[in-house]
Amino acid sequence: MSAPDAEALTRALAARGLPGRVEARERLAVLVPGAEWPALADAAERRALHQLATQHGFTHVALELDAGDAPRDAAGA
Amino acid sequence: MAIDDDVRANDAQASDAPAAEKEAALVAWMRERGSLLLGFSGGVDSAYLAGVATEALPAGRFLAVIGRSASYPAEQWANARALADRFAIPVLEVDTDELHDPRYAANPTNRCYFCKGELWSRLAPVARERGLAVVIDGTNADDLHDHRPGAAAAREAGVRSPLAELGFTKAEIRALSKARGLPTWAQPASPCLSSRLPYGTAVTPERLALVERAERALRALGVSGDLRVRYHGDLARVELGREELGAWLAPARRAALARAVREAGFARVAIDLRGFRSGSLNVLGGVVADAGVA
Repeated sequence: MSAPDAEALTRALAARGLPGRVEARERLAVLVPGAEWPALADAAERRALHQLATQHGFTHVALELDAGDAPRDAAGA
Repeated sequence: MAIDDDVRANDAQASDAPAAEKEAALVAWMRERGSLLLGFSGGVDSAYLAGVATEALPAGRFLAVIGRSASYPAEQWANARALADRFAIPVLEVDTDELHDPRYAANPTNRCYFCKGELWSRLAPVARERGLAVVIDGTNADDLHDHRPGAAAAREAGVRSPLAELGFTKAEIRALSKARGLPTWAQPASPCLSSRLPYGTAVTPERLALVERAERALRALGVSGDLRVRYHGDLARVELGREELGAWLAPARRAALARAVREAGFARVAIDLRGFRSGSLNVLGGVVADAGVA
């Protein structure tokens, strides 16, 4: 497996319309989303993100939550 | 595979030869040994063994022993005690001290070897004092394919694993437990709290209490099924059952989830996008390979 590359994953996510930041904690990618991320309620969307993360050397991917200001659902306001 | 699907697949067969024969073989195995002491956690496997042994053996010839320490979840202890009361399982509690063993506290990939070594070192004298011939544990046949460093400690201590020896699968144990009316038949796996800490992250009572508080808070919020709050320093990585994951990612619910985990003491909260994976820290730590995206 390739070494985890947070910068490359960040760019790949941005290219998919998911701007934000990736924080690498060894092989855990912590996705710090921007304002326009979808809710990711769809399992296929989550699988796609996990596959993207594994392509960049990660075994785990987690979406950071902000209790005070949850990311907006792209389909909503 | 959901627990219900797992059991339904076996329900139709629970009355058929394989599982029923295995239970008969288990009873015979127990009676041949005459007396047993069980390392009892209250989980699916040890609960089943306790239920069978309580019926199979005369009074005084079976004892279920709970090993208590900071790594044993309080909720699981309460469930184990309630089960023992309900099914008249004879039970004893002993304190274990693995957290003061630096080899354990360092949290190496074979942490469980030191934990189980400590457990059996406490239970073996109890068996001797009470004249109980054999010490047993709840290892089942499916466990034999997993990373289980504790198994070596059991072997060294002469502990027997009748469920594994007789070929019981987890699905069979759940189906047979359901047939016996044991509420544990549908219980998710409940490993010790140290399993929430990545290998190499020292096990301390404070960290164990933190992950336990966070998990308790999420249960109070309504999270059901599989749940793990994995400790990554200031960050909690929450693993939910895949059937729950989508619902908890909805904006209002994810905000409540994050708030609950923060109030438990974590500064940051993240949801694992793949959901609960048994042994996920084994993958993160490079102990086992990732099975791939499910």
